[in-house]
Amino acid sequence: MMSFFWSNGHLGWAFFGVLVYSVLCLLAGDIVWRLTPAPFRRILAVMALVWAAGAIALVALW
Amino acid sequence: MTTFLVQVLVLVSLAVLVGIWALRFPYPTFWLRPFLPARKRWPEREIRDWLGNGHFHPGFLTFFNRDPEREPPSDLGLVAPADGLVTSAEVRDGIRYLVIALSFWDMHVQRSPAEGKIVAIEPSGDEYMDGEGRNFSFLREKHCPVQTRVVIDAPSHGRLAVRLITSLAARRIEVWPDKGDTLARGQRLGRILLGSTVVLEIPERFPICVERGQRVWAGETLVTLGAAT
Repeated sequence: MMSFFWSNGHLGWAFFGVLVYSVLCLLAGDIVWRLTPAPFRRILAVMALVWAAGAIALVALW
Repeated sequence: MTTFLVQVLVLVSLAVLVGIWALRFPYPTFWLRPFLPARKRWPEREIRDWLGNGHFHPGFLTFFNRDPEREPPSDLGLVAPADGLVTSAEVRDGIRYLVIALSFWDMHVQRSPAEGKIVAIEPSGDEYMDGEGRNFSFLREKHCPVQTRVVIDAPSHGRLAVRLITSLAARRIEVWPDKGDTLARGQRLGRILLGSTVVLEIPERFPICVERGQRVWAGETLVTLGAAT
């Protein structure tokens, strides 16, 4: 588990990837919220699903 | 070690972005503004905040003060004096009052609806503006407190008038030509600075070709058919 967070003197790539991906999801969600007329809760739900799927994929790849 | 430093650099950069985003929320961040349509780029709530504190976003001011060229249509008929939404076209005492409501994002330069000569420029309500240009006349009984009425004698349509009316949020009205000047159709007439409404007064005998809820563009959209019925 340690190698997930830390490996070979740097952050684990999967952990790093999840952090970066999370921020990008947040900013992308903001753009979607501003540009689409969809209700906020629906956007939130979809973005949460997208984030979860991506995070799981990153961890699975690791 | 280099990899770790690069990772830290990336994460710190992203943290700064999220921090800026959180501080600006719900308003758009500077990196997002250029990609948003005007209404989303400068949301109404943010503009009303600026009206309160007087610190307008320079990009919004540039956008607000835009003054594009307009090409009047070749068809006969009056052109809209302002950009905006037609909200009313009531007739009273033989005059049709075509009311055009301007939003914060509409172009605010008004144009002459027809070729003609200015016979009167009638300002009213300016005494209710304070030194900062803020309008308190809404506290009085006047329905349209600060306005300038430009009366035009048009050979094609008779006596017309364009009323430039400000709102609570308005600063002031500018009318550029003087009494006695001759205007071309679609020529720049003036500007309402952060104002809200333009009313075109037309003799009733000229049928209009716009309806309530329709968007019109100053100097380009025909609002009447050419001939009287």
